[in-house]
Amino acid sequence: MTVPDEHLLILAAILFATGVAGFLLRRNAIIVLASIELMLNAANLSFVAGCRMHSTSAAVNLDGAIFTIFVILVAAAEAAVGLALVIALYRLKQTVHLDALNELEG
Amino acid sequence: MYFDYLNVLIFCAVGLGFVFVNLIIASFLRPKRKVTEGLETYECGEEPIGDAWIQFDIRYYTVALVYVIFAVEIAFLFPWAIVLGESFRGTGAAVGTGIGAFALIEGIVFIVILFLGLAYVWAKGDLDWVLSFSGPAYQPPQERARFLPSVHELQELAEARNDEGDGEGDEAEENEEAA
Amino acid sequence: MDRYLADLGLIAPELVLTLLSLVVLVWDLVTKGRDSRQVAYLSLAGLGVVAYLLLGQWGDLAATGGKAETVAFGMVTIDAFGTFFKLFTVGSLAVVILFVLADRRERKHGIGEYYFLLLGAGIGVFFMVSTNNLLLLMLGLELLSLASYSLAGFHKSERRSAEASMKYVIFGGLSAGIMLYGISLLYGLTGTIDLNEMGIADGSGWPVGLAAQFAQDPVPVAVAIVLILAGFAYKVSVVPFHFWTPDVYEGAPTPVTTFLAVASKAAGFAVLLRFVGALFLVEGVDSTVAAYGERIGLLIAILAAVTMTLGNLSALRQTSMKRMLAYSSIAHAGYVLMGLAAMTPAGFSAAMFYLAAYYFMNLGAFGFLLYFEGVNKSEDIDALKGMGWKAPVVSIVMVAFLVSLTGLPPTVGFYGKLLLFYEGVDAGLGWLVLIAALNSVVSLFYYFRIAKALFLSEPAEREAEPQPFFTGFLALLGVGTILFGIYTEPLQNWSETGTDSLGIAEASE
Repeated sequence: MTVPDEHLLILAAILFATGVAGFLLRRNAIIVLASIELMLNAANLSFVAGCRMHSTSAAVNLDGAIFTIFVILVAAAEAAVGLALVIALYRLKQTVHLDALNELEG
Repeated sequence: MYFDYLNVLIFCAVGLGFVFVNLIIASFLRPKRKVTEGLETYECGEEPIGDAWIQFDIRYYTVALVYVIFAVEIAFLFPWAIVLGESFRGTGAAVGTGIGAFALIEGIVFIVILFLGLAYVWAKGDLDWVLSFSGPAYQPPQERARFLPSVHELQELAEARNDEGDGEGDEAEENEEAA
Repeated sequence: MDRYLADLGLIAPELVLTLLSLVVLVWDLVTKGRDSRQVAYLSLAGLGVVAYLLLGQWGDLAATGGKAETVAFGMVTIDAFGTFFKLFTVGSLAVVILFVLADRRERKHGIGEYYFLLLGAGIGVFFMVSTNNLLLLMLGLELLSLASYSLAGFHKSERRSAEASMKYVIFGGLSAGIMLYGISLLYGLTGTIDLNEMGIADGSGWPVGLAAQFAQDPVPVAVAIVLILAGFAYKVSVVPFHFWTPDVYEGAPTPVTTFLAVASKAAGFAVLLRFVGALFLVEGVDSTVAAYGERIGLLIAILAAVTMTLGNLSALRQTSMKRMLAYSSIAHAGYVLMGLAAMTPAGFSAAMFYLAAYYFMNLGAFGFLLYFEGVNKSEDIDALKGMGWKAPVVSIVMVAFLVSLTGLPPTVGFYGKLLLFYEGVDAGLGWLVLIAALNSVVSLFYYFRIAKALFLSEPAEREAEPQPFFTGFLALLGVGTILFGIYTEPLQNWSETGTDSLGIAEASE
């Protein structure tokens, strides 16, 4: 009773597509950041799937698993910086709407 | 083949059940008093801003932000601890690499750097609960206003709130003075 | 244990830089940011030590003709290519710190974190340019990105700065997500995250080489590689991933813009060169892979043409000098891509030469911008009118930078462009070279506008307060721009040594 690797990859692809769609369609800064997290997590899932595909009971290929931990770290750091900026922006504009980013144009 | 996912299904069912069963039990147990404060959204004892579906009080993100960083670092300590343990016991993949003492020092350096980060956050006062954000209110440029329905809405909402509770504004000013 | 200590010795420059950044952070915390100048001087001294260590390393590597390559901890590749970029990174970090010191508006804000973040970005660059391991590459890239986000929004109470940073984070996050998904696919296909193994593995068991994958089904591999390239393209602001560039460059504090336009962009190119080189041009590469490499080369050539054209045409209609330089940096990314598109070792070394030239002339141009931001309190080109007579030395030096940016003799920019054009024609990309030449003519118009504003109008009535230190410093960069344009030998040798260490070979046809 195991989940086939293809299903993991398909789920990862769906997650990634959801993330991209969220990024493109939503204008709330926090939702956009969440969409980015979704994309990173799609990468994670795909790493784990790859890790399983390349491992046998004799030899374990841990590259993907290790990569996943580091991607989680990067995602957290990115979210932290992103949220900090959302706060800075909220202080200035009292909104987290991305359409309010309109002072630099030309 | 799709039966393979029974685990997932059971997991989902238990998760959903947990939520609803608790709500139902709570509805029997809780006292029913009709007070207006009781109908407000509960937000950790802070006054909620707007609808919970749209926007949370931005201050929670400061806490979330610091928490997220330090929580994630733990993920690195588990593999490190396992390798270290195996290396000292002389079992597993770490045998013969002589990584033991080096990894121990490396881990300590890692933790020290983490503590530096924590000390930094503390010294800068970011662990204190900020009581209010002050700043000039956002004025959307008029010519681009057509793209900004929600900004206006939020603007009006904020103004409406300010008009309603002048006491709140005074409180914020007091806090600024105190700081 | 000894083995690990020996490896630590190999990455001594990185270690010193890391230690320096921590000391800077603590120092600033302990002194409560009373005097950030001390922190700046400390950073400069530390960078001096790093440069000394790197020069020692370079000497050892160059003595072997650049062929030597040591791998520390199985991850950090110490070779001439990486050291070349590290040396220039240290140089530009030092210049940026001097800019922060010279920036009149910065003194008010003077906070030690500025230097900490700059050094942190430097650590990111150091690791990303010297690894064949995708994990370390990603971490270095993200460290650079995260530090850059914070730096771009450093004046977070200024709307433009906060906005620039927000845009940077959002587009940066997107590109990181795309790149990581690409890496995960590539890992799933090959079973390794080491570029060298991907390039040369034979396909029995894992790691599976790219050759076997391409032979089996080229689509997934191509998708993965294009996704990863998209992540890098964002870093070097290649069309269509350039949206953020003008806004971020304009909104960020000028010293930070300098860092982003120069060090960060060059590091992105270093990664791009190493990635493409290791996968498609490595010695003994499979002929199937090499054939796909040529297609990737064609894709890059098309992107290069679009990038330089769009950058130059947009720069034409800018009134703000900062924004104009941002578009000009997009155009320059297009020129450097030509060297990559040639897909030959000589093309790579031409790209490296041009990047080195780019360090000199863009540091100078941004320094000039900073100087006149202080004098005019404005970034407008119109505000420069007649100022050439008031600040003659800086203005004349600026003309040298502009000549170099346009690509006219006798400057380093001219020779760099000449090399790129030559290698482009040699690789059969005549059409691309033609487009690049036309673009250079277009760029003459907007670069000349600055020179015209400076000298070809009535002397301004305002006076420019003399800043001898800053002026002398810019003059030094100007001398470098011209000197390396006349004596091209050393820079050319260095970039060839760097390319040699990548172990790439001419495609055999």
